[in-house]
Formats: sequence, C-alpha cells, structure tokens
Amino acid sequence: MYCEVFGATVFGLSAYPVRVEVDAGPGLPCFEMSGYLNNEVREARERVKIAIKNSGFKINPQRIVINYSPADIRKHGTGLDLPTAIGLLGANGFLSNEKFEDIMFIGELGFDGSLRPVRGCMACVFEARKKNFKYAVIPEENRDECFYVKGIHIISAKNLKEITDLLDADTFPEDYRKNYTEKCENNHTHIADFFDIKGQDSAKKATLIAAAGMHNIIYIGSPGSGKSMFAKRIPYILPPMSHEEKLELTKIYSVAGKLKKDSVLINSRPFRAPGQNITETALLGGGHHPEPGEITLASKGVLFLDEMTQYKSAVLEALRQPLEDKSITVSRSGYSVTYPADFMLVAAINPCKCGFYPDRNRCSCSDLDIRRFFGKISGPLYDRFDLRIQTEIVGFADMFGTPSSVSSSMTTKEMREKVCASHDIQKKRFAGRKTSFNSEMTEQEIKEFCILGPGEMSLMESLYKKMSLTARGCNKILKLARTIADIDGEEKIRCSHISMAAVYRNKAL
Amino acid sequence: MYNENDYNFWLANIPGVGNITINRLLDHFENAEKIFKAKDHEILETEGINIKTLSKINKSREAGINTSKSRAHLPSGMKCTYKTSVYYPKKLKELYDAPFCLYYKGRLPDETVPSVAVVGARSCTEYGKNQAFELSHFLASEGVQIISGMAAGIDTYAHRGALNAGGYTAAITGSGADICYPQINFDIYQSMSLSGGIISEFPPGTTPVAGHFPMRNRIISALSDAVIVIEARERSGSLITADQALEQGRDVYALPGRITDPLSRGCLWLIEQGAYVLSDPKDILSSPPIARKLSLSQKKAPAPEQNTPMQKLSNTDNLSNLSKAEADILSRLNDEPAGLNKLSSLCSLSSEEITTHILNLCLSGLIKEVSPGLYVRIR
Repeated sequence: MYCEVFGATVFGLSAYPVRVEVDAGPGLPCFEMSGYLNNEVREARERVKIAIKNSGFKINPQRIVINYSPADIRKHGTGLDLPTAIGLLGANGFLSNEKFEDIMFIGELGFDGSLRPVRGCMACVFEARKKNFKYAVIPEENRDECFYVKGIHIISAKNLKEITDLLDADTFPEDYRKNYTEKCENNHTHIADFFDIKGQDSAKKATLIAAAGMHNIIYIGSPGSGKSMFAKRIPYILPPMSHEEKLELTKIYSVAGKLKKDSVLINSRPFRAPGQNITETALLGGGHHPEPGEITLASKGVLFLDEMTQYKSAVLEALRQPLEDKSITVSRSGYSVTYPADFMLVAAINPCKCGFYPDRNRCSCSDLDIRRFFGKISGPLYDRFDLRIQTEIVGFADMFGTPSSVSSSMTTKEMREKVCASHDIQKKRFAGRKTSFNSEMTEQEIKEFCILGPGEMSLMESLYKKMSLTARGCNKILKLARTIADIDGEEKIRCSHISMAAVYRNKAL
Repeated sequence: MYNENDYNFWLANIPGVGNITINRLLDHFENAEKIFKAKDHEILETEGINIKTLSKINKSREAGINTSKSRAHLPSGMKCTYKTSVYYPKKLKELYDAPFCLYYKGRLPDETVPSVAVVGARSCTEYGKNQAFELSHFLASEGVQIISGMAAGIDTYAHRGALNAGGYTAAITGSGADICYPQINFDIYQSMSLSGGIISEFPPGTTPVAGHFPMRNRIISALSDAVIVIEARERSGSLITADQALEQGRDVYALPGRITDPLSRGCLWLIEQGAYVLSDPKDILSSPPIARKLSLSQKKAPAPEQNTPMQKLSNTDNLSNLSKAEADILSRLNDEPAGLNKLSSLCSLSSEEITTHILNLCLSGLIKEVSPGLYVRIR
C-alpha cells in the first residue's frame, strides 16, 4: 500500500516541506530510502522500525521503499523520523485515515516510541504556516519555541502512540496553546552593573555612545584595566528587543539547537564571546550542513572578541564584509545561504605584547614590537571601529575612596535610560528607511541628518586638514557626533559633539 | 695582470684573516700588493703573524685572485674604500681593528667638520625620542654631522632630526649597506643614501645578524668627535659604544634622567663613571674638539628648513591663548603618555570638557597622540 505524509527539513534559517512517500508491499523484505538523504535521515530506518514495534504495532516482513521529495534537495536532521513512521504505519493500514496532506509532522523518534525535540522546529512550523498547512504536530519539548507562530493549529505530543491515537480520532485536540501559560526567560537575575567600574569616566561615556548608536568599539588597555568588564556590561544597557527581534533571534537559536529549555522567547540580547581558536566556519557559519555561526548568534547583541590579536588574521578579516552588510552569505559548492549578522562588534586588545605600554618600568617593547603587535589587525578592520578607547588602571582613590566630585559613576540603569532615549530618537529619524542606527547611515543620510553650522564646519575643516582625515573618516566622525548629540537630546550637532567624536575615534594605529 | 683594486680585494677576502691581522700586515708592508708579493720569511717577520696565518695567506695566494669577482660592480649606488686609500676616514685608521674595507652609500662624513654620535635604546620613551630629535636637529643646524646606527628608537629619531634640519647624517649599519634594517626606516634610509651616508664594514648582501651590531658600534664612536647617549638600560649596546668612545679618546655625554626610570639607568651609570652631563646642547658645540673644527670649517650646513615639525616658534604664541583648563591639562602632561581617564580625573573635568580641550590642544600642535587614546606634550 502507499501512503504520503509531510515533514520538513531545515535549510539556512528557513525550512522546506518534504513529501515522504512510503510504499510497502510484497516482495523480498527490504527497507530502501531515496531522495538525497544525509546520514542522520538514513539512520531513521532503525529508529522508526523499533519505535513502531515498541509502540505496539507489528509490521510484517515486506518490501518497503521510501522516497523523500523533492529529491534534489539535501535532507538533514532527525525531524523526518516522525513523518517516516506515520507513512509506514499508514502504508500498512494501521491508521484509519490515510490522507494527511494538511498536517506537517516534525520530530525525532526514540526506540521506546517517544518523541524527541529537534533543531529548527520553529522554522519548520513557520514554513508549514506559509505553505498553508492546517496542522503541525511537534514534539512536546519544542512547544515553547513555537508558541508565537500564529495562524496554524499546533499539536504537541509525547510519543508516537499518542499521535496515532489522535489521527484515528474524529476530531483533533485543541491547540496546545489554549491552556498554556507563556513561560518567559527570566529577566536578568544578575545584572553586571557599570557602577562596579570605578573611575574611567571617559571609557564609560564612550561605551554609552557605542550602545546608543550601535557603533563598534575597541578597548585598548593593560591586563586588569577592565576591558572585559566593560564589554560584558554592554548588553545590559541596550534597550529591550522588540517582539519581532525576539522572534527572529529565537528562530536562529532554534536552528542552531542552542535554545535554553523553559523559555518561549529569547528575551535578553545575546553576548557571544567565541574563543580565540575559533575557525572561520564557526564564526561566519557554514559547514557541510549549513549552520549559523557566532556572528549570526550574536545578532541584535554583542560579539565580543577578547584579546583580538590572538585570533587568526584570516578569521578577523572575514568579519569585514558582514560588518558592512549586516548579513553573511555563505557559499559552498552545494549551497548558498544568507544569515543575518546584525551585531555590534566589541573587541579588546592589550597596548603591546607584554601589555604594559606606556609604563616603561614594566614594558620594554620597542616601537617596532608595538607596531608588529597591532599589525595583526588590518587597517580596514580597525577602521570599522568607530570608537577606540583606552582603559586605564585606576588609582587607589578611585577604587576604594569616595567617588571624586566629577566621577559620580554612572550606573547601568542610568546608562540604559539614555541609550533607550537615543534609540527612540533614531527610530523616529529612520522611520520607513532601511537604516536603523546612526552607525549605519548612508552618505545621503549623513547629509540629511548631520547638518553643521558655520562654527562646526570650520572645526571639521581644521580636523580634516590637521589630522589628515579621509572622506570616510569624516563621515565616521559625523555619525559618531550625531549619536553624541542624540544622547544629549539635541537636534543640532555642536562643536563639543564633534570634538568628542574626533577624540574617541582618534587616529589609526 | 692584477691591479691595485684586485690586490685590495684579495687582502680583504682571505678566509680566516681578519681586520687585526690585515692591519698588522699593512703596518709592515704598506699596501696589499706588497703583501701579495712578499716572501714567506718576510711575512713571518711581521709582528703577531704565525705559521698558521701564513699558511692561510699562502693558500689564498696560490689560488690566485678571482679577478672576475674583484672587478665585478658593486650594487648600484654603492662605493667602497680600502684602508690604504686617501678617502678612507683618518679617524678610523687609528683603530687597531679598523675595517680594511668600508662599503657605503651616499658619502662618508667630512672629517674637517665635527661629527657627533647620538645613540640610545631601541625601546625608548617619548622623552627620549623627542630629545634625540631635538638634539640632532639643533646640532645639525649648527653644522655638526650626526652619526648613528639607524636602529629603531633613539637612532631613528637622531637621524630624523638631522635630516629635518637639512644636515648631514650617516648611519653605520650592522648589515650590508644595501640592506635597510629595520625595514620600517626605509624613508630615512633613502634620504640618507642621497644626502647623507649609509656605511658598513660588511659586504653588500650581508644580512643583519645580532653579532654585527656591537661590532659596528666601534665605528660609530670612531667616526665621531663626541658620543651622546640619550637613553640606555643597565646592560645596553649604547654603553658598549660609550666604552669604545672612551677607549678611542672621545668625549661621552649622557642625557640625565629620573633615577626611577629603567631607561635612565645606563645614562646615570655613565655619569657616575665620569661622563659629561648633557644639560645644554650648546655645551657640545663649545667642547674643544668640536669648537676647533667648527671654527676651521667656516661653512655651515644649510640653514634649517622651514618645516620644523615641532612648531617651536608658534608654541609660545599659542600658550597665551589657552583657556585655564587647557593650561591645566598641558601642565599635567609631559613626555609620559597619559590617557583621557587619567587626565579628566586629574583636572576634574567631565568627559565632554576633556575631549573638547584635548582636541583643541591637538589641533594647536601642543600635544600629540602617540597611541590610541594616549597623549604626550610636544615641547
């Protein structure tokens, strides 16, 4: 007998519906599978046979042939176990109903017949809705991530038997979401506060600017001067994500199999700090079966490269394109996928090899040594950091004494309020445009939004002449100045904003 | 038949016979040709020459002179002079291990004009760089030739200062004179091979080897009338130069520094040992060997060019226009790089104020950024 069931396979961040065609009949007993299958799909053979047996069905020896269509797309993932099993049961007449064309089945099977979670379930359900499937059957453990996929009837199940029972029944059960309370990832239980960082007002201000305009920032400083402390606190001053952003991020993490249990949506902005031995593929995404890399996982949040000079230079250089495009296209011989990569790059480096320049008591690095050390970061990559900030070892008084008159240390809460306010200004400014932050402004938009008075113009002119700026350097300073003015809540860019931008951006290495 | 050059080339390239032996032979025989044609017993009469050396010389004599090599052209722009030549620096001849052959680009220092060696550490402070530059600039504009080693750090800035003043400056390198080491100094290497000199005792193509550098120090000090050490650590190549300068009877000046500064240890030690304290560059001009030569060689180096980067003249003008905060920042800045955070807390300024003032000071050329976010004062 013949039976047709639908499943899905994930590709990139989206999914393709897969038609599983099962034919079972007389002949020499065998179990053939076709349709450009990856190994884990092929291995479904044993899982499905044993799961069916242990769910109480007996399949006689027969000739079983299964085809996965469209046959020219590589099938990945264990999510095709369930449709295969349903198809096999249908072809053997165990199910009273034989038409499942409006149901998408997703799930991996265990030997005991239990349904196990799969990667990218959310993407599959999204696809099912897009292709007008009425129902989606998913493993219970995946139901949190699918919570916000509207417009499709989702049924969650624990095991195969449960599903066969419900297929035999006349009416389907209600959507699991009817009596399901939304679980939310706990809001930050422990907030790393900027208040912990004593002194360093300039570096704090720079961090605030970076977060406000989503500018890339690099911290340069001796070991122990607080570079990582600054970086780790950045996600907490970024404004909360919108619902769409959360949904997109959850989808990415679902595909990457990196969702935490017991949360419907990812609530906090990601902070990714890959190790220095990371490969290009792990950073950008790719692999035999395309998977999102760290830059995609850092979308809407922070990608932190600690001790940036320790990374392979090819890996660092590869960041240049996604930093410009806010997305990454991974092209391999068999496929080409585009992942979002809308992250803020935060890097930290030492001022020299020994880490103590300019303290000549401890550092004996020559100019050449320092140049060589920085040489690992190419000019074009360094150029993408709008803010280059020196973190300094603070004095004892700043550490333990009362905060001095000026350095009434900013707290994370205060900084976050300022960042939120300037994000709102930018949202209004760029409404209906592709740009969403000052750092992404095009030349045209710079002309439109960074209008300078005569005094500011002459300052820019002297900057251009004396600091040998390039046209790009000028634009970067203007973008930065725009953000600084936004933080002050001012419509007009003033000289002090430009000065600050120029000093924080400072010269190339 | 062989010519004079062939003989010289032969003498310079006998395997196992070095500068000291050559100098002894020359003392006895006057020139290379006579050595080549000398009888065995005559050679043995030379002081300090034994059978072993003789056999080396004989072996090389029997092999004959490879004229194709000796007459081959040196790389373009390069010249060489032998100790027997009239062009060979007389000051150098005094050395017991004077190099028999000297390769150079540009020209050799003029011996009627005073020369001063400016040497120091490779990893130096901003203070050291500034002093090296300013000192060489001053001396070169007074007509003094600046000799140094083209190494990173102090040497580089010494050359730059002299070049900037439009004076003559020569680098004694530890590699062949056709090799620019460190490569980063290619700009000064180029300008010195045009308007100054690149001098080496090593044949063209010799790569820089650690052992060569202390050797060239004796030439640096020998070619100069005084040696100035700017910054040196306790155990430093610059101290070797100073040592050799004393052996050669040259004056040694040391730039004093703070006692806590590791880069001042070498100079302070020199001062302890009796070196002159360099407190005023004019002292050097008035020291006897230099003053004598200066008065003899009436001609001065061309007047300093207008592109003095330090903007010395304008500095005093700008100072009066400074706001109180800017003057405060300036007073707290010195040659030690300081960051924004430190300055803002020292001067009790907010981050907005400090950036405005810093940029102002940068634009008026009073301070400069040496590394991202680190500033020093320009004097």
